[in-house]
Amino acid sequence: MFAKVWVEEATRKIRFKPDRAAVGRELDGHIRDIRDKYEAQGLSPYDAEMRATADMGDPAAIAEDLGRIHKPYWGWLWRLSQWALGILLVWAVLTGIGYVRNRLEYPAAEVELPQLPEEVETRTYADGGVRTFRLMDSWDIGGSVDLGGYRFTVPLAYLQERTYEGPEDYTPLQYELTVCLRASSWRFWEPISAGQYMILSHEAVDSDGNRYGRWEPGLFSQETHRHYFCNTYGDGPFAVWYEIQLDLPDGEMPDWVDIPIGYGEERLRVNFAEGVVGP
Amino acid sequence: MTSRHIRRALRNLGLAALAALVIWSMKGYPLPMEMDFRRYERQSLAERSEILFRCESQGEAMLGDPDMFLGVTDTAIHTSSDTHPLNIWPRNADGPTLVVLPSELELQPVFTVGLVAVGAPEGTATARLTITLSRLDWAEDYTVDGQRQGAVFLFSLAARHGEDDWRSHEREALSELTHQQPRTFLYPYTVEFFDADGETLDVLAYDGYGSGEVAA
Repeated sequence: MFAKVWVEEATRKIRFKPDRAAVGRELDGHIRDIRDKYEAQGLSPYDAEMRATADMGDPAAIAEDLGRIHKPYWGWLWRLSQWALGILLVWAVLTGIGYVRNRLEYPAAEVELPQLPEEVETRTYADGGVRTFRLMDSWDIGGSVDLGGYRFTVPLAYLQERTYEGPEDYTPLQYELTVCLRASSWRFWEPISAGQYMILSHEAVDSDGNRYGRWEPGLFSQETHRHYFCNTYGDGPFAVWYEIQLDLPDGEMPDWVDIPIGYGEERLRVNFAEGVVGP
Repeated sequence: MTSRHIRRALRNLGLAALAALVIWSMKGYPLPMEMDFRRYERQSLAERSEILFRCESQGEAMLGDPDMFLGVTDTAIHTSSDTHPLNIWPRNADGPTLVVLPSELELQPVFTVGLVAVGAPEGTATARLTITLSRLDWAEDYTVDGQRQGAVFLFSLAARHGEDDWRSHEREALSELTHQQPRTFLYPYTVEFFDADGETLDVLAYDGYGSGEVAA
């Protein structure tokens, strides 16, 4: 039997074609080795090839064995995975082009996260009014609280005295407590909401019994609540900052403030006396 | 040979998963609408609600996903659509509550907004909404019968004017309705609940923005 015919017969039951070709090449190599040996012994090329294929055995029996050993499923999975990868890479490139174009057209605004203010800051307004912000105290608040899969820490907390002198009928002296909460999560596809009403939907209370609420129809009024406000800042894909401002009635610091988070019943306590945040 | 195939397949599948993750991230991590609704609830630290009602918005369908959801907790009602991720309405503790679906039910041919009454009294067979829409010097009463949809009643408030002077006021008032939030709900309304004999079981009345709380 010719080598080519023998190899085709022996590999015909391997269903995954690339495997069939690879096994065929290997078997063909063996036949060549044997044929070369016989040729070296003086046989003609034809006789050497006939002897070599005869030495290899019955191709039908070998085909059965090879068909049993070489299951096609892993090969097919490999091929399928190649197609999937190819399609996804093309899709990723096309999506990436659109994404980069969009980013170039609408660049993300640079976010400056809140920082501890200067000891004294003065701002003069066009109408001649002057506001002076005097840093009275600041705290390092340790600890963290886990709520709803998000970790809350307090990277910054400080008290400022704010004075106003000028033609407008503004409150001449205020004490504003600023508490910054940072909510982080490793679930980058599910960052916590950066809406300010995450904070402002409920009232905050302090250890002195003061209540703070957003003055807004349907929320709170200035008859019952002291002024309460919140700015939010994105901090990469994993975190959001809430900069919360509470209008303290005087310069006296409460021991703690309970701050509500989200639209449920969650809240956390920032304890200034102990320098820790807790549930 | 088999182990080589396995190795290559695993390598390719790993790279494909990575490519899929990159695509998902560039597209802003989209999910099917109900999973998105649940994600919004988690992101807002809101209680997980029980979905009582879902329907499709024609306007949302033109932008992508047409589904709208309404879910309830003991204290709140959550509504959601693709363009209005999560509206949270306080729920009346002792009676029914009326909320507005976040996107219009129908854009064409008749602009239609959906309002849903949750917590109808036991034995309610029919419900009727009367709402006064207004815009500048225009005001008009609309009365709509509710359609029972499982545990809730849906009121389909459709534009009634054609191409005349009132049309723009009506259309704007209806559009504004879909953006209503409970604390700034503009329009006065009454929802009446009737039993099978036509007897009134309960009345939910609201006098409009600035008038105070919704009274059951």
